[in-house]
Amino acid sequence: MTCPKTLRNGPCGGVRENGNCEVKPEMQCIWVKAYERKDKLPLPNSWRSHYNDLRPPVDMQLKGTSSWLNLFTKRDQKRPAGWQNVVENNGQ
Amino acid sequence: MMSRVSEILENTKDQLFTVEFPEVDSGGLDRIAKHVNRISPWFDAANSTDNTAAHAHASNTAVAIAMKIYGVEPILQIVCRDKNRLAIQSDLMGAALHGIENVVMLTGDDVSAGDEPEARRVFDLDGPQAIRVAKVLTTGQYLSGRKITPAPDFYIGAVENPAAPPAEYRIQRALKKHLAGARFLQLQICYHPDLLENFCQGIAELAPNLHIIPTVVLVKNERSLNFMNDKVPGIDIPEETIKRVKESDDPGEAAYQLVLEQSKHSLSLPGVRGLHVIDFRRDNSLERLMRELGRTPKF
Repeated sequence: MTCPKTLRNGPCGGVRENGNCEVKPEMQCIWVKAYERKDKLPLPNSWRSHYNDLRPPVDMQLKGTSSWLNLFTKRDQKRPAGWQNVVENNGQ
Repeated sequence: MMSRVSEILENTKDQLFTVEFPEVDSGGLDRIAKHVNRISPWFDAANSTDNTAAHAHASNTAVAIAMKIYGVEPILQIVCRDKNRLAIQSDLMGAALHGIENVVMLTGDDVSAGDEPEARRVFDLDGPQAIRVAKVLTTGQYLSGRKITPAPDFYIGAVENPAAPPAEYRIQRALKKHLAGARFLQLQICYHPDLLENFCQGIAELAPNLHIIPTVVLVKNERSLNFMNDKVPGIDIPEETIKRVKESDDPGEAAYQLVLEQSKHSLSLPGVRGLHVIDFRRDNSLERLMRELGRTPKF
């Protein structure tokens, strides 16, 4: 995770005029970079639209574990129950 | 119960005027009363900030409760920099306990913007997630799913910066916050009228029920503009704007006229339902601005 603020839902309001990071002025904002790349790279449109998904809070219990294993076992798709309930009622 | 802010935005066509309550460090409730006397004739509600620009002050919730005691409707700001998800939920529930309904959930400046850059930054949640967490509480449960009876009533707001890159993406980002649960947006101060206009136009077309409240800031002279340009994350002020104030015969008056112009322009844009004012001058120009925008004092 390159964002110094560990943000999961896109570029914060602190992005500098040149597109660089509020915290590390010498670094391009990773969310600005991703925004540009999603249009430049030959990706399916459904992947492009993932950029704007509302991603849930990170499960800190997974820190230090294998992201590949968590992907295959779907452990990384577990959401807090309150979050999940609202998603189911809202459809998003 | 319905807050005045939600009543005005949801059930009327009236404009909503909000103000940033000055940060409070000490001096007891007398200090609160002093600020209340200055602002309450002119504004519908005031924002209680949460360690603005990463500087510690009296707590957001404590100040919001104090404002309520003096009859000013609070808009409680909660940022993600200093508190994890447990602390954010307890801020919200503590506020609800005191009948505070308006909340604005934001990511917040980084610790490096403040006077204690060595502090640990938290950001356990980000802005959009924090909005959704407030929304989850209104459905009668904590994030964990644990029941809350009765459910708290929050009127949830968010912020957005129409000028921050990628500027064309900011409309989508605001819509994401709207989907997460935000009903109104208080905007970052914007010195690029064209970007502000594009943003408001986009929101008005795509989400006509998302109420926009742009922000203006009263400053004394070009030194304050330079300070914001250099030090405040996400604020970019064009050189010619600073020059216009600096090279005027009366920089104080020129700085005021700039804000009056920004206010009138903001209020004329589609989707805009009011104005948020930050007052760094603390002279008679706040009252002057309100009068020149056609406001009459409530008492």
